Amino acid sequence: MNVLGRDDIERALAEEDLDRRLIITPLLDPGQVGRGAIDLRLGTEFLLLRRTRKPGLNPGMDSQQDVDEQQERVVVPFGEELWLHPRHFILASTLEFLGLPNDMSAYVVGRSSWGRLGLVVATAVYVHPGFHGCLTLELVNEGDSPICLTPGSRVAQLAVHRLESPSPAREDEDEKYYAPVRPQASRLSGERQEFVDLRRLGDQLRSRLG
Amino acid sequence: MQRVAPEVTMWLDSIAADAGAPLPTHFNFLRDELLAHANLLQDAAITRAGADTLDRTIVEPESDEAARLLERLILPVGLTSALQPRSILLGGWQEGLREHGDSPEGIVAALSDSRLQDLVGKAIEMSVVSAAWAL
Repeated sequence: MNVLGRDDIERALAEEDLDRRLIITPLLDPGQVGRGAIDLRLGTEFLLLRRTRKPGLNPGMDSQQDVDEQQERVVVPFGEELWLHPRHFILASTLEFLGLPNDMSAYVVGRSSWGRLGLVVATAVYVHPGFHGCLTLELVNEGDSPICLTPGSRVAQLAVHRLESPSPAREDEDEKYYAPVRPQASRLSGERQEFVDLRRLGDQLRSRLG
Repeated sequence: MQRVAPEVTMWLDSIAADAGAPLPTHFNFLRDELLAHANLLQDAAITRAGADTLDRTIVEPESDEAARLLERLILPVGLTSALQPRSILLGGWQEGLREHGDSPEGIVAALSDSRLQDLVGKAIEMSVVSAAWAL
């Protein structure tokens, strides 16, 4: 697996065959393509966690409606700002829509300039081959001072890798996050059966061990 | 549209052909007023939206590109330059009717296709952002 440098990225962005082309649109400034990564901009929609009377988040028990009700969708137009306070967590999305061909995957990381202010772009780091959509960014302010977020600013970067062979999706493969254009809340509720199975497994082990 | 969705186009034409049929009095009044001011209304629309607004030779080639991108689940902003919002909208209809069928039922299904609506809406927004950025 090779990381694409600037020349390779530019070639991939200009590939004639749409099935093999690396899509990043709109790429407002060609200067976003760096030596080994592409800068990504902050979109205009955010998901903020609401304060609720519930004790917390339980992916094994919560329905998708429970998860969605705990989040508030906020649109911050261009030219306006959103302040992220210390230890606060929000979901955002990239302004750019990405399309990876089946022989490329990518990692999303925060830009160090923002990291030095305390902003962490966390966890949803791996982008699968064949992914299409705007990436959901998980943003946390780990610093002690509120940070002003501006839609359109370059907060993250994408390092693109080429796989040794194409890895197309199987027909039965999960598409729960496919082609989103705004931040997506967790879809773990779709895996509730697995949590039920795990509880049953725990019960069986406890009864066997006495 | 006629090339991409001939059945829907024929259906719409047949509805439009019926416009000369007798109508209740209040609708007659509206129709007469619209006909009397048709040129004025068309001029106002062109002034507000641009001279090429109603020119299909400009819009249709771009809408073909938008539809081609949507078919591959790619945001139809444009591969080399930003597509015009009206081309994206027409491309959305082309792809919606290709996906859901060239029939009146296909129109309803395309309007209910939330993924298609999201992609078209986001693409129109990004087309406007790209055009503003270039200034």
